[in-house]
Amino acid sequence: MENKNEYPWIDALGDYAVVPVHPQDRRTLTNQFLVFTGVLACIAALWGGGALGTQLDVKGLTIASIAGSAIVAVIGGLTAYIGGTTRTSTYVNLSRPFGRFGGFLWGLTAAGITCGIGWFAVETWLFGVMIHDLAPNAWWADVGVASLWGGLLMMTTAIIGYSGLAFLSYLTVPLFLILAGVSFAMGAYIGGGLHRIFTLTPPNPVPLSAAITTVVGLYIAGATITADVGRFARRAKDPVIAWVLQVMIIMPYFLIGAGVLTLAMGGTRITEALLAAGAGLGAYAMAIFGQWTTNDNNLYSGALNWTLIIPLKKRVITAIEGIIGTAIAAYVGFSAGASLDPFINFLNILGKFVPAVGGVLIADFYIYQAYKGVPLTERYKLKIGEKIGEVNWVGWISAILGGIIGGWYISGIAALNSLILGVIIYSVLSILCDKIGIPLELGKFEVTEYGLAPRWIVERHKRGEAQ
Amino acid sequence: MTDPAFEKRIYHLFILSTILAIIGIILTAPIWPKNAYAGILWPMISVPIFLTSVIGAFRMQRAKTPEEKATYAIQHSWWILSLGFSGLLLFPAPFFREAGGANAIVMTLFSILWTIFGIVGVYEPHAETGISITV
Repeated sequence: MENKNEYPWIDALGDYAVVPVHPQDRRTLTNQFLVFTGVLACIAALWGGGALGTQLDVKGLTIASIAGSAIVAVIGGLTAYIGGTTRTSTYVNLSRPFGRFGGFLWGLTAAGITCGIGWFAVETWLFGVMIHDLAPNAWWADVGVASLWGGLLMMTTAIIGYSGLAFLSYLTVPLFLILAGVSFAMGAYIGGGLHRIFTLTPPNPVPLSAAITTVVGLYIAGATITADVGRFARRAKDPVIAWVLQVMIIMPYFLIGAGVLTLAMGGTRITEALLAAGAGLGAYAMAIFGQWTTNDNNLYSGALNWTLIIPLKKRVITAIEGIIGTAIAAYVGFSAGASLDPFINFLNILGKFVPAVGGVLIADFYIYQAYKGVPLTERYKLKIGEKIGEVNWVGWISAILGGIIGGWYISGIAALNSLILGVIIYSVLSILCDKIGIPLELGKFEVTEYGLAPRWIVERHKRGEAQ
Repeated sequence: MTDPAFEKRIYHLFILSTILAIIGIILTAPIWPKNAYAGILWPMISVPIFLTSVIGAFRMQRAKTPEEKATYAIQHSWWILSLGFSGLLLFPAPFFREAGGANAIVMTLFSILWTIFGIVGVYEPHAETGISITV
């Protein structure tokens, strides 16, 4: 057992943003499972299932949900293990295949801008829309007003940090599981019974491959940043078990439940359907907690990256980031006719690179490090005094090419294309460069007891201690 | 090594939860023939509470240290708390009240009790041992 006195790191940024997680803060398998499921248990997953319900019959819905989930399980399982064994955040892990500066920039693209501000604002606005649909005549349910109080609510647990996210997940995940089951039962009841549900045909049928694409696309970005949760695990295999269990069991359960309700009721707005069917407060709980558990994670992951350039405490940054996202959502909510489409398109463009970044990470950890002969349990272990490149140009090229080619030029599942291309391009280029003696990294950064914290943060922390 | 003070109380709460869950499962019988789709909520809440209470009690009994006992108590109490909270939101809803009548009211009361048991089960071991409530 590790002695806590052996922990040599100083966590100047809070929440172990740039240093390994302290042994005393490691959590159980149950904790990992609930936090992962809390991220999944969102309205987007149910709306995704609802969209599938307009495109597939029950058999197709089941096959697409299980096949898509299996792909996400493999990808997320691979990245979760990296978090479980290294105990460090996605940003720190990315600094190996992209360099320290590269890790920061790609981390900012994947989490800081995309999740922390972008998707936080979009999901907060969606929350406002949903609450308005549930109570169209109430002043507190106006899209702008609901976005305001919803955004502030979601900020609270993100400001607390990992413990806040875990607290909310413990409270709401079993609730959400029950609500998804209730949706399924109500859908079957309204559809005229289970036997009739199986004979219903969808209004807009699509090929099975397109439906699998939808399922994979729903959660692949989440699958690439599992290390942010997995690093808190007690054993390296725990986040892998937790991830695979929740993706293979809970994700199909949500998708099929929402799909059946949609198939039966003919609309994709699942909370409205639940309220109309008589779920009462359950419909409101689904809307509020569904968005809350996911969006606080967006904010949390985003703030982890912003701490590296903004000279403020992580909690303050989380609050600022949350206020910006909430303000965007409320502005759109108050401005009748305003659309979030250009904003969402921009986020989707960034989103095409996220799986490629994940692919490069997987390739470097599992293929390049194995080629270099580093034992699995020793890979990416942060050590004081070791030198990490400032920029790993091979990682940059692989992610850019993988994102562009996979996202725009190859048909099929764009996210999966980008990820696989990221793996292939990085593996080939890095091994080739190594064989012909071209260095992968430019510049060097020495790891101190402050981990990968920039020098100005270290100096500020030392000044603070001296006072 | 002495048993931690919370242990006995948490056992009692798990036993009470189990008894209420068994009654909840029995109460499914009159609802099921009327409307199985509404009746599914009764076992959906009661069966997991029954399982988590029984398994929680066994795991606590087998645990060797107060910290280990507190960990199991907190983890299983969270499930009781969240499932009770789910029942509290859903049993009074029109869909289930119409199908269940007085039976749904009884289950709402049980849900309030489960929620309280869960809160106590999470808080007491935490207060006594210092184990995180989100262990």
